[in-house]
Amino acid sequence: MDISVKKRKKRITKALLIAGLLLFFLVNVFPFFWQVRMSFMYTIDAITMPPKLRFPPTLEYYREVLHDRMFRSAFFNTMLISLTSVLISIAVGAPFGYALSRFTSGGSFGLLVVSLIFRALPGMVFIIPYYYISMNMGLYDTPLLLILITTATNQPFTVWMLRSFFITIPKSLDEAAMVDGCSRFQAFFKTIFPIMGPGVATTAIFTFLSAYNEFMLAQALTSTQAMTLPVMVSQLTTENIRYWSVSAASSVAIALPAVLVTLVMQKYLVKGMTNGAVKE
Amino acid sequence: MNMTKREFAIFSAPSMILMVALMVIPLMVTIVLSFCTYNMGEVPRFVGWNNYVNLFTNSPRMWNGIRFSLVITAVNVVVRAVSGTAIALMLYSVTSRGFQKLIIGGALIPFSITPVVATMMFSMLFKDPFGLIPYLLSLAGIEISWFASELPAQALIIIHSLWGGLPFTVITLYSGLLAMPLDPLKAAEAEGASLWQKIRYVIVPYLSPLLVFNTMTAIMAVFRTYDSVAVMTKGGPGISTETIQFYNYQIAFAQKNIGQGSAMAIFSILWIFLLMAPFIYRMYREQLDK
Repeated sequence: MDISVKKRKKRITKALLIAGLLLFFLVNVFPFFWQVRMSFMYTIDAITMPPKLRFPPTLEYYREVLHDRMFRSAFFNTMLISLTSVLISIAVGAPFGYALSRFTSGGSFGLLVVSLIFRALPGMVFIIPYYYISMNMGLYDTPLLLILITTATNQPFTVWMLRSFFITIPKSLDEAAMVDGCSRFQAFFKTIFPIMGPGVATTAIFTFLSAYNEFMLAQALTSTQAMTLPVMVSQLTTENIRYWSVSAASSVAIALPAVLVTLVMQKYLVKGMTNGAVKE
Repeated sequence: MNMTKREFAIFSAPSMILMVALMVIPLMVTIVLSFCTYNMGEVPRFVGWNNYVNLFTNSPRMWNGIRFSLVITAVNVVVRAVSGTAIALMLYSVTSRGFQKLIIGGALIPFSITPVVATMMFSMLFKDPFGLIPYLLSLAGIEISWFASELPAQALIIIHSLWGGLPFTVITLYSGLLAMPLDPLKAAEAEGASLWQKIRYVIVPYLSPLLVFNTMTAIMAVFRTYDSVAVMTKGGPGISTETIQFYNYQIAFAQKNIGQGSAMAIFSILWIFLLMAPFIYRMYREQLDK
């Protein structure tokens, strides 16, 4: 009698666990699912309550979004800025991360801590000077400005992540290469980089997401030429019901690249979060 | 062969130049501007501590922003720590790898979705009269106007930040649990510890550096909430959902009061450091212990 009661308790506990986790899953996924659902419905159907289970699907709104000039331009800008930012971030951050992992004396770690403190500062501290300086330099409303800024502000995090990967590669490797006659630079490229693949991938995803999703900086520093997708979202309105489904399709289209990249590369993302978590 | 100073300098130069040019120098500029008044087209004029005095004596709206930002931050820190640990433990106790991967995959969606898009999603879910949530609530006889009343609107902003932030906490805590050494747990079990005791005396202490890390990340990210306010409520109704960063933006760009805006930005830095201080101290102590 005693054992079967215990067994029942265990099964109930397990059921509760699974239910709880499914609830968590649902809360995470539902808003996006709902938006996707609405984007395929005619507005009339989308706004009727109770929600319809069967409805005539349509691609009309997606067609409208993809043909919209503003969307195309914003999409191009956002991709250009994000991808370039990732490239420069890694090109500039990897050597620094490598150096920090090899040169451990003196205040080298202190440098990293200081740069992380900058990461904690609220964006307004930087936006005010960016706005006025870029206006004066003619860089306002250009992709180049956003590329430079997102790269620079992401550097602390990028360098820190890359450093944590470089640390896992023993110094003896580059020492062996240099004994064989390589310069420090060659040692860096030859022995370190190929092994670094996953590390670079992880850092690239975080940097990409950071640049792609940036809103406040983009809103303050662009108007028509260099508008990015997040800024475009903010101009969609939920006031006028007629535009409800178009807004849904737009926002799904805007979120999709980021979500896709994340789902495809989730292995690396989770690994990156693990690394950040399980400290040095 | 250890790295030489010269080599270090060469390898770090590009990154350092970028960071100094685009973070250190702008910060200096903002500090200087906070002591001036500056109208476009003119040269900034030095006014000493005026802007700061104004902040303290003449700006109830700013204190409103600080208060709301603090509330959001506090709620986030507590809920993320408690729920995050609970959910991570639940995830850890489930044995099926496939199921765990499913849950983590789902958790990555709030993490990766553009915050402004998430804002739009929540707007559509909660907006009267076509949103799903008002409809479901009305079935239970509850009528809440999410955007026209102060408390619901504030709750909406908090919900948005929790939705986006909890998954990150869960994933990092869960990863920490995966790396947890099992011996202390086995020892506790041998001594007849209950589940609650195991959690309290073995697991939570083990997770505490991670919890500190997560709390600091949460403070840094949530205190400067801007996206959801700017798109979803625009600070309204009234000024009830204004966060400090949102108001700062209005002062600097809508009202074009650069000097005041700069002072406010510098002031909010102090707040962030104040909030993070106990945790930085904690981390410092832990490093010393090592």
